[in-house]
Amino acid sequence: MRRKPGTLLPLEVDILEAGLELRQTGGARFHGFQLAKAIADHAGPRPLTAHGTLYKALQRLEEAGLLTSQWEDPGIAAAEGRPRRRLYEVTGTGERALAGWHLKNGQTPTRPRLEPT
Amino acid sequence: MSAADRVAALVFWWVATYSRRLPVEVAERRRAELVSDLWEQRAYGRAVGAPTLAVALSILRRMAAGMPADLRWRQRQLAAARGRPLVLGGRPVLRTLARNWWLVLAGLVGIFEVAFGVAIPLEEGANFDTVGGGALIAAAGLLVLAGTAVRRRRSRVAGDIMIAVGALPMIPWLWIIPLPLAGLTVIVASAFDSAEARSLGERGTPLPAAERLVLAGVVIVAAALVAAVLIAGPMPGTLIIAPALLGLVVYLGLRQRRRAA
Repeated sequence: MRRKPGTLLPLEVDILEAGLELRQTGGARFHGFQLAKAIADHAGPRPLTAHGTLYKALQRLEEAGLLTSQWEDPGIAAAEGRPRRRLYEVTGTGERALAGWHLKNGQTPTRPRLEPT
Repeated sequence: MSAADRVAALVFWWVATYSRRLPVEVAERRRAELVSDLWEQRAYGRAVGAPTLAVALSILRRMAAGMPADLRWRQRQLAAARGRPLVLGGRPVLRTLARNWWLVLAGLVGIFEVAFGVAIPLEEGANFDTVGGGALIAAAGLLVLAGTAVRRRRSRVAGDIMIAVGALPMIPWLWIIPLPLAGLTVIVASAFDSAEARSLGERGTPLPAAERLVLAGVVIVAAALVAAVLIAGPMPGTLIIAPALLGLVVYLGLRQRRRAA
């Protein structure tokens, strides 16, 4: 089934909301597991988003310009003794798309301090 | 190598399988993201003191649940590599259903058990065995339905345990294949869900003391009922159940009176 241009799927809304919430509470950029955890925490007793579902949605949002991403500095990962993280960030377009979605669906943002920019 | 490490190795094998013959940079990015994700989940599990088996089951569930999306992603990447963009979507209702399919199944199991428990004495004539057995199965069904509510509102782990225990009466009906299959599926799914909750260090909201007492009363009555039907026979069974039932009724009456006051 084709989706209408400009519409957001529930998981995409969750990702954008969680990304903005993480921005409020810490850094602007977040990695995959951090995002899955934030979504699960926010939605009550909800399982962690499956690998395939999560990374496919992230790629889709990035292609739509709602997220950007880049690999972190390998030096930081090496210093902390872990694999490199792919770090994502919600763009201005992403924020506007989410605000538009809330307006269209008559819902108030479920996460704190979510304002269109 | 821990159980979580073994399951992570399985995920890497799966990634290598579905990203085969895709452009190298596309496949490498997905593989590297999964390497990071799995490392972070295992590190988080260690940080919150989660059992490694719980982390392993959570990773396994995430892999299994994401397989259809992985295959669609592969299809999309192949189409893109051939210059034919492929747009895939989905109905939100279907996506929600896909995520919570086992809870829907658990709900159906609960409703079936309640209906079946009520139907036994009606179909086979009311005697102690049919009423007792029917009550036991109906109580299990109510436990499943209550478990879905507890899972949502109180504690995911406690709710999952209630669902798994409540689904147990479906297992012995081996000659009707769909029933034990549905029961087993619900039990396995709730075990995976519970393991994931534990892997995330979820504690849930503890039950208030009064509700804990009611739950204990229900467990005592259920245990007495099992003993009565399976071991003691009708008359001694009644003697076992009566004090527990009486205690529960007295407690509920006192509680109601206190609330009214």
